[in-house]
Amino acid sequence: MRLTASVAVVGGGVVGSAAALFLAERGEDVVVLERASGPTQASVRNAGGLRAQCRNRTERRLALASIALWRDLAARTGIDIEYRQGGNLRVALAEPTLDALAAQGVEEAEDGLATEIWDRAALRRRAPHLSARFAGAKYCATDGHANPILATWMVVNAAKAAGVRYLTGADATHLDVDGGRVRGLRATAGGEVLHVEAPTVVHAAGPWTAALAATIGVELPLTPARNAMLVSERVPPLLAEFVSSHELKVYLRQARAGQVHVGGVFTVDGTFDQRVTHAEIAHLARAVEILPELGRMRILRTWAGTLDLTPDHLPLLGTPSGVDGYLVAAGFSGHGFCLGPAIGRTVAELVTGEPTSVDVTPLHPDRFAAC
Amino acid sequence: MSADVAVVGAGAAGLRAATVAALAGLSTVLVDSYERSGGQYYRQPVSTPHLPSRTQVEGRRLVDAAYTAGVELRNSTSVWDATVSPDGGVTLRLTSGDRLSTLECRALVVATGAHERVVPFPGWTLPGVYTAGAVQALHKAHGVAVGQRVLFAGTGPLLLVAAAGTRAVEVLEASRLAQAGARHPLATAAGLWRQGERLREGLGSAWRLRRAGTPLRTGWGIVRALGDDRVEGAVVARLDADWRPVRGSERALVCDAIATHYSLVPDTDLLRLLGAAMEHRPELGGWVPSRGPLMATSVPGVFAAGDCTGIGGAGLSLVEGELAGHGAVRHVTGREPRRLPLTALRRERRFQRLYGALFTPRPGLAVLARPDTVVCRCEEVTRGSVDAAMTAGARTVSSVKAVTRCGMGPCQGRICLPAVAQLTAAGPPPEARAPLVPVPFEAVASCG
Ligand SMILES: Cc1cc2nc3c(=O)[nH]c(=O)nc-3n(C[C@H](O)[C@H](O)[C@H](O)COP(=O)(O)OP(=O)(O)OC[C@H]3O[C@@H](n4cnc5c(N)ncnc54)[C@H](O)[C@@H]3O)c2cc1C
Ligand SMILES: Cc1cc2nc3c(=O)[nH]c(=O)nc-3n(C[C@H](O)[C@H](O)[C@H](O)COP(=O)(O)OP(=O)(O)OC[C@H]3O[C@@H](n4cnc5c(N)ncnc54)[C@H](O)[C@@H]3O)c2cc1C
Repeated sequence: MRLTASVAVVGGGVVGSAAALFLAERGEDVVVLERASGPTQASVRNAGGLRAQCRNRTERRLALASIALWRDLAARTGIDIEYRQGGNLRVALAEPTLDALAAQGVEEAEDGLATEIWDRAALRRRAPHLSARFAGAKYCATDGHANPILATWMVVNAAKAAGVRYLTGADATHLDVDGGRVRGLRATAGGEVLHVEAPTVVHAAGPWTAALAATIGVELPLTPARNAMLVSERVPPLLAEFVSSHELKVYLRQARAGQVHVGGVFTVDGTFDQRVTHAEIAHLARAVEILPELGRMRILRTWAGTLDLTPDHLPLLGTPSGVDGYLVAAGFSGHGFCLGPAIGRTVAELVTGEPTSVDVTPLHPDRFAAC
Repeated sequence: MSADVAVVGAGAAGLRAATVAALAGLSTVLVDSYERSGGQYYRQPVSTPHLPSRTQVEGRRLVDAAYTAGVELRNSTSVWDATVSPDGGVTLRLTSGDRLSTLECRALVVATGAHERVVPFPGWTLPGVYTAGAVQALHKAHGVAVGQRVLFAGTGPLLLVAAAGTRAVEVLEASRLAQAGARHPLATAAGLWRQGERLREGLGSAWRLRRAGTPLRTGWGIVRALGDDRVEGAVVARLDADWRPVRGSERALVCDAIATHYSLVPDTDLLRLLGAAMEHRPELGGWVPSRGPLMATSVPGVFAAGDCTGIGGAGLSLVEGELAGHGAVRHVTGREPRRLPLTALRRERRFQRLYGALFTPRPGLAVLARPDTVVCRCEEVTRGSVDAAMTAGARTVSSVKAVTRCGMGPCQGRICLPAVAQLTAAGPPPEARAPLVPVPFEAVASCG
């Protein structure tokens, strides 16, 4: 089978779907190829954190733009994505950790992001359910969280409503390049070969991006990594904030239905295997050290998703030199749910040649090629 | 803790497998979630106002045999995680109340049984709706009757057996038993040949129902339950060949409780967690492990027997358990088994085939749930949400689960996902992940 489009997007996760949505809104004729039956990977397996604080400057600006876009999309579509602006709380065990967090706040204020430092007493008062052992915390009231499953499907459906052809069960196998330009791609769908002719290809296939890019000589420094989560039984409301500790390497949030979701600030690198090991479960259970009341609860389920880590943990966004029309949007290193809509909009701006709303030149994929 | 052989599930299959292993001189541990051994059929009562029944006496003998052979029985203990070790053994993680422990074994027999399939229909979440197995258990264990006029509906021998012990108004068996018998009279005869005990049990139930004046209708089923706060009645109808209600045949009846039973679904989580290769066999109850000689699964050292490998009844479970026990012994010692119950196996397989031909749920049942009917009780997901998710592009069980949260509650989808599977396209078997049963946070955190 053959079809033509002005833009072909590989990967129907939150990033690919958001790119498709903003491209279609700019009048592009977009086809998305997703090899599963829909978004089934990191985009629907993540912790739902929507956070601008404690980030690199470029990511911070993207995150601020993206949180606004998430709210706007939910308002436009009327879909409840369980968004909650409950704040983001980065807790610190040691005084030096708190000092480092405070220093970050200065740069954030320059970008218009307001945060607060809570000392031990303030933390006890403002978040009484948390363990008393923390020296303090950095708090960002405008951050929050949402249900990633509902949110990602909202983007997929908005893209479809904007005219995007979202093909499922379509596995991209070849990128067609000729004379330094991308011409389209080939995929297998339902046992058949599908040829897509398109002058622009957006590659947003998460950790699977590297293998296909390598077939046209583009080496992307992406490491697949497993990141596990667990969820408690439903419990009455305990906390509004998304709380994380980089010292204990765990974070948690309470979903609207009452379950506490626990994630890890650690990964198992170099694997696509999504089976959760006992060591990971035991580490995640240490969330009781943040929220002691978890100790009386039971762990209900666990799962894992695959991250796409880059050496500097910043995304790869842009056209690698030598392949015109080919745009990479991958390497989100565990931050891509929050950033999805802003990345999608930036991709659309890059494709149509508009000036980008946020300067993303520091994210260019060629930044590693030099060294 | 470690053992040569670990057996999970102390029902017919597990008790027999553990006994065989222990008699061969191997250290053997038998783990079961319940306080009492025996599994679904042979479970021993904690205390009973009645004289022990024939099955209880039989069960007592099985448990005693295991005990005498030297099996270490670990009851009130569930397996919540399991891993295959690089050296070939298996590590089981156990939870018992708030305590966690591990059990290393060289061979593992999985005999986790099956649970009743639930088919959602309007009103099925009303107080007063039970499964036939629950009605039977309440009656057996505590002498409690769930109602004075109980409607039984669904498919499978348990429907009849459970009804015979209670005050049933009507028993509706979806399958047209007579027709199946008439079309395969030989199969029926052969299948039941030498099934004296079972036949007596079945006839006994039918006779007791008849004496009580309870109508038994085949080719009929329940359409919906009536009542606001609890069951007050039901609408029932004749079913077509696909078990879809025949328009115009509906009729209402008064009842104060409803017991449904739509055959059984094998409990395969532990097998899937261990990575055993699975195959889809509707006539056996759904996804079941592929097996080689002596009940070996595709995972070296892991054997599977009884209802968790396909619904086949207590008799087949006993035989398979014995074979799996020999499989485990051979895996650990290299000794070839001497005498295998192959004749009994062939006989029981005939019964299993007959069971599958008669009692495999048909697709028409899927039309019972209306858009506002709850499908997943834990997460309160309706049939309408499932349909909407499918319209939006979710086509497999796992994507419907991701979109709707159906199956993400405490029962881990054991109840609702088989019903969702009837609606969705065939996909791979749902992933199983630890914990197989909820585990206490504190204990897991401190064992890290
Ligand atoms: C446990 C966990 C917690 C996280 N928590 C957060 C958080 O709190 N906040 C946050 O912002 N981020 C979080 N993340 C990260 C975030 O989920 C990801 O960065 C984001 O989902 C990336 O989106 P994506 O669309 O690039 O990737 P994916 O969702 O992985 O989508 C890639 C898609 O491409 C498809 N695909 C791959 N190859 C092909 C091919 N050849 N042809 C067709 N299709 C193909 C895949 O099937 C997949 O659907 C977390 C991630 C995990 C795993
Ligand atoms: C409600 C009900 C009533 C039945 N009534 C009859 C009847 O009247 N006549 C008849 O012939 N057949 C009946 N059957 C079918 C019959 O029970 C089976 O065919 C046979 O007993 C199956 O034996 P088994 O050893 O395979 O499993 P079971 O007897 O089901 O035993 C499995 C055991 O495994 C344990 N287990 C499961 N998972 C775990 C875990 N993760 N950790 C620890 N333990 C675990 C369970 O607690 C259970 O005790 C009934 C089945 C059910 C469900």
